[in-house]
Amino acid sequence: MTNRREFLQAAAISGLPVIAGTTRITHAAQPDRPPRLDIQTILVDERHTEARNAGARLAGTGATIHAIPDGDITGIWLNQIGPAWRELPTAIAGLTARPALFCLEQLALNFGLRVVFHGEHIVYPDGHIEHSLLRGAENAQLSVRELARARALWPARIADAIASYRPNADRPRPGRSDAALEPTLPRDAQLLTSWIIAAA
Amino acid sequence: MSIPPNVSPTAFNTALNAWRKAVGPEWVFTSDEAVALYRDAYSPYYGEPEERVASAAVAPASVEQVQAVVRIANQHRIPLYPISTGRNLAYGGSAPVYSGSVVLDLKRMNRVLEVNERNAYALVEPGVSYFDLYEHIQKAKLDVWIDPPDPGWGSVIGNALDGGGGWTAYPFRDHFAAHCGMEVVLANGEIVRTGMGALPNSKSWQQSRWGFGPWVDGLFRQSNFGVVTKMGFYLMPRPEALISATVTTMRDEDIVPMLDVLNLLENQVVVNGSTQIFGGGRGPAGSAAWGIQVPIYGPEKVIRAQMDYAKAKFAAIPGLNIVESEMLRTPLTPEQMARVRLVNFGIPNLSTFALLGRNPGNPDPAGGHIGFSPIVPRTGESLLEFKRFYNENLSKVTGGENLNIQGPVYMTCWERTLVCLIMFPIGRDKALNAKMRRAFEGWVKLAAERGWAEYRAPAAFQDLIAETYSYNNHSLRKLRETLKDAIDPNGIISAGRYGVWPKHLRKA
Repeated sequence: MTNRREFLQAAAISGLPVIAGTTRITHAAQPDRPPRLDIQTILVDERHTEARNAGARLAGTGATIHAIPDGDITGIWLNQIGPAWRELPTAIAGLTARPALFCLEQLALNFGLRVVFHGEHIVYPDGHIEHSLLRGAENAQLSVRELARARALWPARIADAIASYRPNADRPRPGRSDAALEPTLPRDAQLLTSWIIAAA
Repeated sequence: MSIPPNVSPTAFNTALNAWRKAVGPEWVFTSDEAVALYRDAYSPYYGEPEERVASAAVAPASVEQVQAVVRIANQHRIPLYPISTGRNLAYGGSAPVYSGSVVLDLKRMNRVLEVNERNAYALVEPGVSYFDLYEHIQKAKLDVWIDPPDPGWGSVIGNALDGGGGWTAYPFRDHFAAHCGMEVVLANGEIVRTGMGALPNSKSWQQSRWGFGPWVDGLFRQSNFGVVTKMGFYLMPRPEALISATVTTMRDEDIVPMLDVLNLLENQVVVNGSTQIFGGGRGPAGSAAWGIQVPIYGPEKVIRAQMDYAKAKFAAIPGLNIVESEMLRTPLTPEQMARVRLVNFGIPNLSTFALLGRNPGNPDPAGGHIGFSPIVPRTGESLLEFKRFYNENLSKVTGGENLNIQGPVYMTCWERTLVCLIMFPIGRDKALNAKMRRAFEGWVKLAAERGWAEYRAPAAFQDLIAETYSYNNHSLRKLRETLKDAIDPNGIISAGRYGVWPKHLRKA
């Protein structure tokens, strides 16, 4: 469970109003741009504070936040996403470890869905963070520089990027991400992956 | 756009257009990004010229469309590589053995055709995953279990045909052995049904396995003699309970009588669960030299008596420690489901990937892997011999370098079989992958000298391993080639799979 301090920190990053509970955060209409992707399901790896913070931020959009235990998506696949996609494949997003994205991407391929946004965030033991945005940054209006500027509040910036992602129908259909394998990292460094899976 | 080898651009374009008419243009994939989806994520040659890749893919939705695709391929001599869900990770995934083949993607054929609770069987299409079949059974509230592998996202048919296995009870764990009847599209587009399915209007296709005359089902296991479009499987009626015991010893040599007892109990079908052997010096200091986990499924009263019998047999070996676990009655409670290994209860899951990913117990994962899993005689003496063999040769195959190769893991999960698994991490570092390949090849050769060989292999090593099965001047391979030439004379289906090449691609 995210504490009040974490929730307020996450909200502060973009100046949006802090609203407890599940009141939907609305944005002003921008008529010349494609509509935002409606993402109702967000996965966060409950082992990581950063992921929980992003989830807390996204709770304000009205999406349902699912905390996945031990990085294992089995429960949410069997009970939520699998049955939902069989009825109607819809966009999902998350801030998780890589294996969760790898599994969901493989499963998503069967439903015509692709990874449309993919960011990677290496958190080092000394606290510094290395960000890379591998796809969809423009659609999410996000840059590595902004994430670096956000410092410890980067999860909230990721949450905002996910919430404001606008698909571009003119873009070529993305292929497979490279979430299959873990990169070599210094001992005690952690790799978190931000992502959106959607029709493309 | 890539063109398959030995196919002219004109012929390929003609075939592509014919396929588009047969299955719909949206189901023929030639763009680089679409074809890249069929790359093997765990390929030991990833990103190198030797990586086996598809040239295109076609996804039919019905057996009639499969027939059409195959006939077109045959007409134009285009190599096809059928896949079911394409998740055969560590064994080649969705990538063809013969690079440049067109993937015949059967994922759209994903119907569970029948689940018969009364006679406990299912009939499925190749695109049905263990998750799909599990969900179908749960929704219909049928009191039968599937036997999933780990992970459970693969195809029920694909896993069985590749020699995969699961984690519940005998006789369901050996997935090919648990099948009953199949429908196959041959290279000329003809449909064959095996067993009782060859009798029109038969109602026992998924009940009685053999039918009449020579049994041909085995031709389609780990092979390239046809495209399987339906397959039946025996299912386990939900067992009332599971009881388990762990038997440990501090003495290395005790594994000899322990394995003899285990073999007796399994061969008597007193113990029917997926047994596990652990130890062999891989645990922390002071831990048991060996342990065996002994699970039994069945009615509560019956398995209580069977467990008492099993414990008495083990207790005859001095110095063993035997600890019985709680009896778990099914269906499990949510609390129980949160702490058991779900595959042992017929529940497919993906926890393996989380375990293989970065976590406190695994701080430096590569994520990908391949495995060398030779079959060794099922005795304690052979197991100890393999342990010595591994320790004596590890440095030789790795050139003295620590490559983080893991093993051996001793697997008794299939009846009458002992597999000694060695795992090689695979990543995106080409130099490291090359070292892993050399180590793998080293193990294959050294093991073959002792009469041990692989039961299932990644595409990259299938030729190497097929070479080791060389009795009587490779008479088995020659028999398979004779059959291949007769059944698929143009050699269009899965060229090279498990070392069987069509005539025009065979080395002299």
